[in-house]
Amino acid sequence: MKKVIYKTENLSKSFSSGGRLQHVLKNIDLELYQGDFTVIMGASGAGKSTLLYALSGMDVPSLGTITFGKQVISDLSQDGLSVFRREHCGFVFQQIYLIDSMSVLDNVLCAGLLVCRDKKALLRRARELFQAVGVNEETQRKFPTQISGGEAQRVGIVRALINAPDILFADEPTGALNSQTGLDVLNTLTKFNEQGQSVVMVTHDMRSACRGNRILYLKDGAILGECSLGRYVHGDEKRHEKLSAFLTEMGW
Amino acid sequence: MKKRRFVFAILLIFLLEAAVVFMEGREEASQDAVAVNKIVKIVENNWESLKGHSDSSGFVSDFDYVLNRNHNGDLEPFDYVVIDDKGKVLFKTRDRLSETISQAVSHRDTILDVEQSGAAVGKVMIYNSWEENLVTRKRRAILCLLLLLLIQAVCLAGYAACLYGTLVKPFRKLEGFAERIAGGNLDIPLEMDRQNLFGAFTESFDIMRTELKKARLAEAEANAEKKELVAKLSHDIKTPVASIKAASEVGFALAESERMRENYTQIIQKADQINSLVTNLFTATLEELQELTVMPGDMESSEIKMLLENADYLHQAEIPDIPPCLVWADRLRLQQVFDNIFANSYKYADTAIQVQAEKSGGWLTVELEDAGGGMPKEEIFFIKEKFRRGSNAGAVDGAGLGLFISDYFMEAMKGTLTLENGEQGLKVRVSVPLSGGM
Repeated sequence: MKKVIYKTENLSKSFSSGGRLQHVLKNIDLELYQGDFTVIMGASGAGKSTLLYALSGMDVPSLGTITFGKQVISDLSQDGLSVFRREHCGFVFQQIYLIDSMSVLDNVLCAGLLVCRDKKALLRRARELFQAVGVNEETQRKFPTQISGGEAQRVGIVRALINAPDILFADEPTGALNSQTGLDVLNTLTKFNEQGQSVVMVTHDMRSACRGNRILYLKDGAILGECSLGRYVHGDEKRHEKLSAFLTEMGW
Repeated sequence: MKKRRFVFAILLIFLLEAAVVFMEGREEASQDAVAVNKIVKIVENNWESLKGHSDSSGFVSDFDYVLNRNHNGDLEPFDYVVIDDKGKVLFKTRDRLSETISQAVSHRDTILDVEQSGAAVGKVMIYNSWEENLVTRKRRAILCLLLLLLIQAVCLAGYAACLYGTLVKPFRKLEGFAERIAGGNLDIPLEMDRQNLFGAFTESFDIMRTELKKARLAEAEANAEKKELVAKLSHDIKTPVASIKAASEVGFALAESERMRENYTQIIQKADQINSLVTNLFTATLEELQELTVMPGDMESSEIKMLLENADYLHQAEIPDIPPCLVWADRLRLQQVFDNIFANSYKYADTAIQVQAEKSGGWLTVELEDAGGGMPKEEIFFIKEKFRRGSNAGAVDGAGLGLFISDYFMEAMKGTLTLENGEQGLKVRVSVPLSGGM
């Protein structure tokens, strides 16, 4: 039996535009498990990113509760939420937002120092992570404007993982990358997941989705269905077929 | 009467404001002419000692009693400068006064000649302290005005609140009322306050509602009669047609030639056709309800509390908080369903109503139970049928359509409406599906 790290009850999010309420998430009851690579798919406007933001504490739901472990994060204040995000979550976005005036290494350490004061330990962990994602020492000394998009995204992953978060949130991490560099980033994420890192990824790219072991399909703010794929095995054609069949059934 | 007093108060405040502005603007520097002349006199008397600078201390003590009444009404000594005809300063009561004639003129000081045996030998320039006082006076005036403005603002806010209470609020109430009327719900009376400006006006609206309701009832009755007629006629038609068919079947069995058998077959077919046409006619009268549109959408469950409160216009129930979630329902139609349930309870039980709400599975369920003892078990199953009324309906007006329509609405919202006898009275259970569950 897998350990539940996230549990939502009746999670709903409404935005008001022009005096009309728009309900983006509707009564979502969801459990996320430790060690899973959960992929959230769905058409544009289905509420994928809104769900990710609500789970990660970047946004507050209009209704319902979100429980992380024993902590009810939907009740937290903005300050409480930022502490929660800092200690438990890592984020990888489509845009990487590295600080241009700091070297790659400093960018990563800067995020780490918010949580951990032990600079030596941080440096050691940063080196390990950089090695794991394949960013060499020379690149680490460069500035964000001097590195490629694929490298930047891998640095983004290192920055997200420097605090050893309980869960890594990725919102279209390969959206802005070309085919090969996107593949590198996916391989990196898959590798960390194999080492036990819980990942939640929003994507509408099937190749990316294929990496997950649990696929959730969102439609009109509700979970229409889910598909269990099992652990990722490279070059498994059946996996792709199964996902494809699931998505067709969901009306992808 | 109140209005006149109010207008009077506003006018009074305006007058006070005008008075403040007028008084403060008019008040000019006015120096005590007698005191000023006295100063000149004393200077003239002591001219020699001033000129020679001899013993000026005694001179000053002479002047101490020449006091000026300033704008506050307090007495204070004059400030002045004495110069001779060459412009040389002979005496000044303090520093920073106008020491030349041009300074004095620009400062609007009082300048008087000092005469000695008929000829002007010098000048006394009495300092004009008015400008210094101006600042304090200005401040006082502003304070007064601010106070008056505050009073005015409070009065206006009071007036606005009063206007809201008498004008806007009744219209708001009317709005909800009109919406229900538009939605075809004529059972809920318009609460009104006769003391209100619009009391009579709203009353006529309520009369309109009762008239409409009467018309609707009459229509329903006519409809019911029509339905009965159709049912009766169709029965009357079906009986002879069945006889014709039976006779034809016998004829068909006994027929000797092929041609005869064909004729009988045709008679049997036509009899069947008449039968189905009559059945269609019978059912068609029941189909008119389909014209009521139900358009469900997402709504927050907290709104259901408002709907319940609206429906409970006699305040017989304590409405609990509804578990927070999004539900799939048509606000207007759900309101009508609750209206109907409460109206029924008022009409037939007239007791307190217990309301409970809970969320389970994919449903939000609201349970309403009165203490009227419920209804006979054998009636409960049929009470939702069209034109069906309970055996205790008696003289209470109604057409037996309420629950039928409510049930139709709930079905169209993919929800359910169930009735059963609870411990104390009839228990009605309204279930609406949660959003996103479809």
